[in-house]
Amino acid sequence: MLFHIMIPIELESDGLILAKAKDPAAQRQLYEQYAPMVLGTCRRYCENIADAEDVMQEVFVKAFRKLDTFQGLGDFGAWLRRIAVTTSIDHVRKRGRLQLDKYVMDAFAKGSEPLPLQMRVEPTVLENMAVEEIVALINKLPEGFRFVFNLVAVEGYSHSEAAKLLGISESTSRSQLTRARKWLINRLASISTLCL
Amino acid sequence: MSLEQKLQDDIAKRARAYAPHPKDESWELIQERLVEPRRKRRIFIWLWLLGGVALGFGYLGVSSFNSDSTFVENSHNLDQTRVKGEESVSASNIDQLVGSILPAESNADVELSTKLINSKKSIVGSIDVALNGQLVDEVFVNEVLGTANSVSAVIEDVGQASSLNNDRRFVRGEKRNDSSLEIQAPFANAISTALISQEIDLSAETSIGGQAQEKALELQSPFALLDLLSMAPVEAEVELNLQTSSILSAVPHKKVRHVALPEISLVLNAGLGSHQVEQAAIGIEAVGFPVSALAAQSSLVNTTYGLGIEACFKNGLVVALGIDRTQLAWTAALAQPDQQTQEPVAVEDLFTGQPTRFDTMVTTTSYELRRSTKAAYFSGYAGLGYRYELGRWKLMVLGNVHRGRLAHVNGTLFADQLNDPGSLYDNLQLNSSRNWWWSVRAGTEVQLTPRIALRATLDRRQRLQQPVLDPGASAILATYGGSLGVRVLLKD
Repeated sequence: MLFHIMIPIELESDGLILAKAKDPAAQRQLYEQYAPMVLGTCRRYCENIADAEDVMQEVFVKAFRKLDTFQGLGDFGAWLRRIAVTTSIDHVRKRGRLQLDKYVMDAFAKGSEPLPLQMRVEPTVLENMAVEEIVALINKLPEGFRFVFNLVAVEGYSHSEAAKLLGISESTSRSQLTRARKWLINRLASISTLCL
Repeated sequence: MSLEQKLQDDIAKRARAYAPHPKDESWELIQERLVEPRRKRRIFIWLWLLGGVALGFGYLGVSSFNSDSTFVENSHNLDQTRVKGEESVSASNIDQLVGSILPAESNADVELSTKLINSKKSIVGSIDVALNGQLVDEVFVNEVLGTANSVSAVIEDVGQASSLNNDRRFVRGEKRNDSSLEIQAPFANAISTALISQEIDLSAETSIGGQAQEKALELQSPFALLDLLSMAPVEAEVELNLQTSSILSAVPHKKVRHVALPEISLVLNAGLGSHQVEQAAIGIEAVGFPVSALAAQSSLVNTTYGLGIEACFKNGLVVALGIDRTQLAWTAALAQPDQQTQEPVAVEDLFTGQPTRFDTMVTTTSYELRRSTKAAYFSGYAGLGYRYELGRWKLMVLGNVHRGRLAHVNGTLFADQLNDPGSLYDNLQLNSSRNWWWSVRAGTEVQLTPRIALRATLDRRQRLQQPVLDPGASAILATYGGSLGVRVLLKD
């Protein structure tokens, strides 16, 4: 899957070489180029923007320390994004917030009712929403749904990769994505109704 | 494409475009964090060096000891789903591992059940140990930390049957490159018990929102269990029931066979010796006991210090290289590989939580050739000693009688002698050839990790024969030495 924000850096470009040599100016350049993308990624997993900022800093610290291990075989942005994803998950896990099983059940109870027949999503509702609103909507997803949705739908991970990262089974990942989708559509339908 | 799928794709596409700008101070914070560890590392290296120098000048010291009877190998392999595992444990390893705990031919059912009760950074749980259906012990497992390369746990024995309620023991398993596990024994009974079983059926019941989900696991090692504990989803409630047909007995004493030296162990020694000749730059280790702590006997300073490194091979060959403040020396020694006069006696009460203890009487015979930039020396040793092992600690005492011969002295030495007649060099030449000495050496060693141990020795030597002295000459009658060292196991 292509991510249009990523700006591929040429293999062993000057900036990367200097950054590998721990040149602060080159590091700064890489930071400025990729920080918004990394922060956006972290934000989708973290509960609030302050946490996301912390995780973003952690991501860059890790990346600069491990820059030697980046072989230049792929997109540098993708490499960074992968670090951002795993670091964000670790962050939530360390804070004891990643309770996938619990949230599955909660979400069952609250958010995944089938759509009532009279509710439908207006085609324009998404277009009328700002990207911040969409991210805010994703952030309101129950945690289990949110992580799977972000990993599979947004980042393009396979269910098996997502399951491994989250420590759940592949089938759970699939079902959570389905429920996440329903949950989001429910919300969008509500918004549509309000807009009518 | 369904409407749902399209909406999902649209949401994902819009979400990917989200790229807010970070706060201005973020970059400064990142820079600080990048610089800080380097500073800390530098401080640590300086402290370490200063500490090493301070230790080197101390009067406690190193040398040798046994290498490696406490390591046990287990090959262990969990497949990627982490649901099934396979392990093979060889009989010898089982024997080494369980030692006295589980003598050979009894047959009883052991049931271990584990429940994770808390988890944040570490996973805490307890293991109930039942013998023939009756609860006999409960062991707390806390701080189970699993990484890609190691599994370790602190076991706290809180069993009703235990007389040592607060006894805490450390269990560590390290995954090696070939994906086998290297673990340190002895350790908690419950774990040992499980390890020896040939087949362990482990059923895990995972409760998700009140709905029990049962999985059958095939694990043949407690380390698979530890592995599982360390990998269990955070905050998940997992119940593990482990049943095995095992060999158990309440016989508390059992002999275990001698475990051979590792193929190579690398010992770094730093030490200090006093009186004329003795240095402790190299503490040669042979079959669990120091053979020599001399870097270069021809050094004629009153007190010297040095640094040495030695490799001990499985066949008893020890090769060492050392440097003291006056010269460079190398030494090769051949020691009797299996020097124990009896099988070590291991003592441990089943399920009482008592650590394993080994008492061993030891004899040594060895030959040593030492060559330095100033002289060459050849000597033979015969000794009798006692070794006591308690958990990770070893204490050893060894008495030696040896006869040495100064085989060669460099020209510079004679030149010094000519320039300074009547000095100690005379005595060295006159008295160090063909002399009987006795020595006593005491030492201790503590195993820090399966591969690293710290050691310290003190050494006292006394010449048996009184030398014939020229008037005014001082004699080399007695020496003291000591050393501090770290033993690093390079290869099993």
